Amino acid sequence: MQVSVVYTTQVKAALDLPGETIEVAAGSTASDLLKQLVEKHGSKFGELVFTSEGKLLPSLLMCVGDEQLASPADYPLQEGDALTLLSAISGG
Amino acid sequence: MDTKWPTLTDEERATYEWQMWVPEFGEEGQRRLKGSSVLISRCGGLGSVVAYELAAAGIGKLVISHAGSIKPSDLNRQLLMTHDALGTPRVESAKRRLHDLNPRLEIETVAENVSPENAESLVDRVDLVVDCAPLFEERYAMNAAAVAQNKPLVDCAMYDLEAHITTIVPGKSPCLACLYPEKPPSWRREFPVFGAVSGMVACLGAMEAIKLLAGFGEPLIGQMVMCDLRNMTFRKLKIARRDDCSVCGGQ
Repeated sequence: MQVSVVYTTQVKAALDLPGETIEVAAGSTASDLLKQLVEKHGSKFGELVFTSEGKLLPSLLMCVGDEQLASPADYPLQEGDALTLLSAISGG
Repeated sequence: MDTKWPTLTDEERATYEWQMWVPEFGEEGQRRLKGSSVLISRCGGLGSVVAYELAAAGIGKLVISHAGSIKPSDLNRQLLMTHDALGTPRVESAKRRLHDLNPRLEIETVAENVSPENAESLVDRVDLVVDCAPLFEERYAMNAAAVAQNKPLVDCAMYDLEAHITTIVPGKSPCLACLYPEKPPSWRREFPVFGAVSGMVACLGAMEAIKLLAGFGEPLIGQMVMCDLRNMTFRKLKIARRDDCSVCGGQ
């Protein structure tokens, strides 16, 4: 099934990519998707989404549509989900 | 007429006449602003414009906290800083410029950045906080103090051509530590910025503060506006509390 991902802030800057559509296996979670994206984009993406212990970074927000996922790691992806990744920013 | 709020002078009525025409605001809203106080953490690209807009709108008192002196690299965005004041304290330039606009404004300058040591005292002096700090440590300190004192905090942030803004009302919305329990390891103190981007989100933040203090409109409670001026995308996201939040406990 296909889902789309919009990258913002530091993630977009690191990948030099505003977003993409990804094919994921049925039954995948949001965490599975991020691992798949690490395989595709390498450590420059991985260090912005996972801790060195492999847990989701607490400073990363994930949204489906316009709603933040309260428990993003376990979220079961649905066909056509439109995800957005936001890394916390603090510029003033 | 609500006697809790100060009355307006003839000069103030003349100055604020056009904004008192705004439905739901009126003279009552203006009196509420006159009787209100706001802490602005750092008067940089964001804080300068928040302070200027609130001064223009007739806020009664500003507490401005920002350490250091003006550098050339401040001048692309920190609109309260001036070229002729290079090398002088930022808060002094800010005070002078704000008083040029609104001599009635009470201004308390603090030549320190917000820290865990001073946050409680700074937040205690005001009704509302606008968070414009470039470091997460400062933001977390203000968030904790605002939650502890049950005061609203407008959190404005930007990076490159993107910006985020949300309004934290203790008991009604996620707090900053709900959103980001830990700072991102990738964040650096120096970041790409145009003044037009920091100024844009600062105007949104000033309007949030005005709405909250005057009691009208629909503040961004439990919502975050994210925008990207590279392609003029604006989105409003619903954001979530964390039941295990170390600051607000999800309350």
